[in-house]
Amino acid sequence: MIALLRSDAYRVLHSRWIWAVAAIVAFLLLAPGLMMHWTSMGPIYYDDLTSSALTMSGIQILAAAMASIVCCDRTDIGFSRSILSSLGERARMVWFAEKCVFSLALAAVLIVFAFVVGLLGLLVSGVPVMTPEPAWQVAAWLGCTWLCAAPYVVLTVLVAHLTRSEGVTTVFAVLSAGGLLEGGLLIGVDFLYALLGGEFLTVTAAVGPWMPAEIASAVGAGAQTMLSAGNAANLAPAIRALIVCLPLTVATVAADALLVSRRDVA
Amino acid sequence: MNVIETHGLTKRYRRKLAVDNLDMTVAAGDIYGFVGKNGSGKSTTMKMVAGLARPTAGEIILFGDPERGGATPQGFSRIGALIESPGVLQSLTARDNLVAKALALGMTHAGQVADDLLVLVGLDPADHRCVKAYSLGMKQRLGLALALVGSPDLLLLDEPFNGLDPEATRAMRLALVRLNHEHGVTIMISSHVLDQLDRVATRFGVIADGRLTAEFTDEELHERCGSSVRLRLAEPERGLALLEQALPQAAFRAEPDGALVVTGAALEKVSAACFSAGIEVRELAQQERDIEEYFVELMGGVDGEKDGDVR
Repeated sequence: MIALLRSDAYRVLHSRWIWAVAAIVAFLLLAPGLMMHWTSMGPIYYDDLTSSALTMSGIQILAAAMASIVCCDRTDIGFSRSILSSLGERARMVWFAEKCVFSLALAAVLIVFAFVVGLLGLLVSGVPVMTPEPAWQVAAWLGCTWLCAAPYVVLTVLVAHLTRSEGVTTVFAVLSAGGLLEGGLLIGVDFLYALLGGEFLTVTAAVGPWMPAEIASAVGAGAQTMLSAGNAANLAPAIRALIVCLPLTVATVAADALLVSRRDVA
Repeated sequence: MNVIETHGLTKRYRRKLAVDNLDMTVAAGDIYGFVGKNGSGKSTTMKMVAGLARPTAGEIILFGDPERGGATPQGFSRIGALIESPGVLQSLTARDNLVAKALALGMTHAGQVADDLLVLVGLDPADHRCVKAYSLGMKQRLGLALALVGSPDLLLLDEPFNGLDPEATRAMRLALVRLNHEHGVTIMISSHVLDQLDRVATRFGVIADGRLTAEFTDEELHERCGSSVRLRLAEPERGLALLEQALPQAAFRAEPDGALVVTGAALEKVSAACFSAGIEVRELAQQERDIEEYFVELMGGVDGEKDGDVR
């Protein structure tokens, strides 16, 4: 596993796309701060770090899209074939699990990078934060953000291994991590329920708070919201993330390593 | 020792039977030429041997080890494969491709391994261009280098001569022979470029419609494809019996059209033997058999006819 992780880290760090992504993220996070600094326009102060000063919106989509690139590099299947033919049967199973682990690690790096650059942008902008959260809350918020991104990342890897199609995987990554698939699914079920005589949006109201996209949205609202039980589910989004996202991630990695690895590669 | 042994190997993709009950043997040190038409099952067989596709039925014994398929205790197989495409990462340099694979196999001196392999296949380790700027021949050579990472004992090469110019083809051929002779690597090559295959292979297997139709050595191939005498007799059975007595050193083969092909005896000798035995000859001619033509016949040919001496 370690050797495979080192190999993937090497090839990603020697690819241009990763540096392009880093540059775009840095630009998007630093540019507002620089604008505020130069024009002296913008907010007078931020309330706190996680809900108003720093933003992690779109991080799930970017993390899933990066997983798609890692697993679907245009000729990756040929390169993977070369590696897989040099691995024994058990090591092949590890290879599939490693792709999930590497994509999760990459998502973690992305989140930390976005946070650090965001802090830098905050310093550059010179806008004060009135009541910054304690460090443990910020750390928990970052961990929870990663946990919310994790199911989308590993599902993208699973779809990549199942379809071996760059187009399908990228579309899936964007639609699923953007919450469109879940939303569409719930509306579809609600529609059927309404056709059968039920009240429209009953299913969405009941199941919605437990869907990963909804949990991710609540976590994205800040550390205070993430830890507060004052919501429709009467349970803190952080707990819901542990209940929903963690098992979903583990199950997806297991399916990829144990079941998808048994399919023909070529 | 046999490096590859397959027994009743079968692969079915939904309704299509790609490989049908294939029994094949590749011995250590062989350069095994695997010949067949497009869609005959060559690539599928190689993928199954490489572990990239699971057989529907049958068994593959690698390196005489049915349990672990000859894998090392670290979980690495002793196989290097170049199947269908070179399988390179286009946005990286050739060296980066090799280092990435060497790292994946847990090698400590990945950079050194990459440099050595690039030199071995005739590529420049200091070339900083991305692989997408390479010619097809250079990509094929890089694909070979990738297959060689980890010093495999068995190399599976699917169409390695595809798209190569004559110089690159020659370089590839020489590299393969050197690997076989100097490093003892057993090589299985599938190729449509039969004249190139003929120059490197020591044994051949011919596959048609997923079945192995013939297996023979290089010497046997040249025996069958050298100069021969074709004759048509008034009484073929009696004539054959008499000729076998008169020319004990010669080999006889019945053609599907009823003609007799004699190898190992000159035209004059065959003619004299017929005359002295009182055999009525209707047609007598010297013929040179082309290797390509022979393979085409074995692969099913244009009319699907096969020789009488094939399996």
